[in-house]
Parts: sequence; structure tokens; C-alpha cells
Amino acid sequence: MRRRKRKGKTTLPPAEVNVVSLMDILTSLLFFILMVISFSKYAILDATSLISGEPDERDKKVFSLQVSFLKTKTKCRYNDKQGMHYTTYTDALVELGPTVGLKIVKSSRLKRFLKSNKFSGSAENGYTRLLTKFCDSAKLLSKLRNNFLKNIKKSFPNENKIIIAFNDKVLYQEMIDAMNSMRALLPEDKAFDIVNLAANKTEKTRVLFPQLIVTEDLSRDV
Amino acid sequence: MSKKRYKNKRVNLAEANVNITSLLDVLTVLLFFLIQSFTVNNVSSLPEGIRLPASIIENEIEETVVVALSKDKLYADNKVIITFKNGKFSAQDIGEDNRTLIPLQKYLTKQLKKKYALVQGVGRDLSKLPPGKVTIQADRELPFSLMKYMLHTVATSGYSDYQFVVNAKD
Repeated sequence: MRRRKRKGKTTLPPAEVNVVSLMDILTSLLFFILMVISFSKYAILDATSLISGEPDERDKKVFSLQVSFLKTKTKCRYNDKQGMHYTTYTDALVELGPTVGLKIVKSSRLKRFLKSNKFSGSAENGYTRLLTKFCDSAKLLSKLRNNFLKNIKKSFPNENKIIIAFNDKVLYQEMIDAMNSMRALLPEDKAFDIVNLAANKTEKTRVLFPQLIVTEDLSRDV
Repeated sequence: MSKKRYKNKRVNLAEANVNITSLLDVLTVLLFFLIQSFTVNNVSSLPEGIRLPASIIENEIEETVVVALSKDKLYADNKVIITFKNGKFSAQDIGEDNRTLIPLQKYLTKQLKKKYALVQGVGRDLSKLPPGKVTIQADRELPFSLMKYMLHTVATSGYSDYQFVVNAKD
């Protein structure tokens, strides 16, 4: 006997999507992304070496800027927002090499800046200025960045190299802070106008001297 | 009253199935992320006793020779090269120029020669090649009086480009 075929539509069972595996993957992804973010907290600060005793650049007509950080033996006590601190004094010596024969933007402005900030020296021999007895190294770095280096950069917009020297007592964290300050203004500092010599226009920048040359300061005993 | 009789019946439990699909998913994702984090760079592991200084810099690390300095040890590629006490290197580790650390110089020179073995094999002078790069990790409280030995040795061994590893500040 033939079986009768059932007429009518065949109904499929309701479809179910099992999202359990998907939820597992997403949960694991989430935790590991959080973990990876905490691992990626290292960054690098580039610098090059200047082997002690080889100041050859000073004999040629090239731009030369050196900032030496010197920690002295004398302790000082100072008060800031976090309370009283003891530290040793930090001095900074800014040395701008001979400027004769170099291309300077608004040389009259550079002369006024050097005179008003009590630099000693001349265009033929170079200029120096010693900043002494700073208890708070953050204030010293801020002064260097926002006053001295900014104004020198305005006069020499195409120059990017700076030599940084340290004496034996300077700590590694202080060395890194100093290198940061020489490279560029911090986010809280105001950007300044600089002449782009190639395009012959003025633009805002925070970059100071990003090519750092690290050396040891041998010239002074403290 | 009739007492109900309880017959001892054997209850046949259904076979227990363990569904390990979710477990496999989790393990697969774990595996991929572990592989990914291990291959990022070799700087992610710091030797013991080093706390990096903080900085606002955001540059990423490149793969190079790693030299690390803690308060009592000097490492090169995670191997202890020099041990010292009281914050001073011993006289036997310092060269005649009073600046070079001999064990570190030997290690770095060997690494540089390996790196340029092919070039050297065709007679090129190593000193005319571009300077090597070295990654430096050091404890934030170390004085420059210790750092200068390491920096000088690294520079005179042919690695005059430094990469200082810092903790990125937010």
C-alpha cells in the first residue's frame, strides 16, 4: 500500500544561536586587552654620545649649545605643595658657542635677550650664563625651557642639537627630566612662534632641541 | 495500616557529558594573546632591582642590545656581566683609561662582530659602519657617577646611539 504524502508546509524547528562560545571569547579578549595595555607603558628617549674630551665642534663655525647640570654638596630645605624637602642645590651652566658666521633670525633680538639675561662673553668667543642654587630642579628646568632655550631656538630655528653634561651627583631620574626639558616644551607650557626658514613663514611649535648629545661634565669641581 | 514497602531500586543515572567547548575557546584566545605579548620586544622584562625613571616621551622601543644597570649588578641582554658593591665598580673591571668596563666592552664587541659578520667577511672596516643602537635600562636613583662608566663603554664599543627606557607618564 502506498503511504499518503502529508500535504502542507514542513515547519523547521526554531533556530537557536548558541552565544556561549562568543561570550567566552569576548570575556577573555577583554581581560587580555586590559593586561596588554598595562604592559605597553615603556617608552624610549633617544640620545647620542659625545666621548669626553672631544669638543671638536667648537673649533668650527657651527652652532654649539651646551647645558651642564651640576649638583653641589650643599643641602637646602625648601617648601612646596607636598611639604618640606631636603635636596642638594642644582646649578645649570648654559654655554652658547661663537655666533659669528652663523645664520641668526633677528640678531638684534638675540643680543637683547643675552644682555637682559646677563650672559657674559661675546659673539666671537661665545656666551655663558650660570644659574645657581636652585633647590627645586623642576623650577630650574622650567626656567631653562621657557626662557633660555625658547629664545635661543627662536634665533636658530634650524638647529636641533644640544649637548647635555652632568656631573657625578646628578641622579638618573634627574638626567631623564633634564633631557625631556631640552627636547621640547612640556604639555603645560605655551607653544611659541618660530620662523620656518624653508617656507618663509611663522608657525607655532613646542620643539626645542630634539637631538641630544649626552656627556660628562669635567670642568668644574663641586 | 499498611506499610509501604520500599523496594531497593537501582537508579540508573544518565551519562554525564562535560562540554569543554567554552574551555577550549578561552584557552585558544589565551594562547594567541600570550604569543602576541611575548614577541613585542625583549625590553618588557626588567632585571631585578631596577625601577625606571618616568618621562612624558611616547617613542616606541626598537629591538637592540639591552644593557641594564641596577644598584649592584650590570646586565647585558639579561645576563649578569658585572657585580659590584657599595655603588662602585671594582678596579679589576675597569680598564686603564679609568672609564671602560672591560667585561661589558668584550660582550658588546662580540655582539657587534656577530651583527656585522657578513660585512666583515667581505673585508669592510667595522669602524666605518653606522653606529649601533643600545637600549639602556637603569634604576632611577642611580647617580651619574655610575652611569658614565656604562655610557662610555657602550659608546667606545661601537654603540653610540642610546635608547633610554623610561616609564611613560600619563
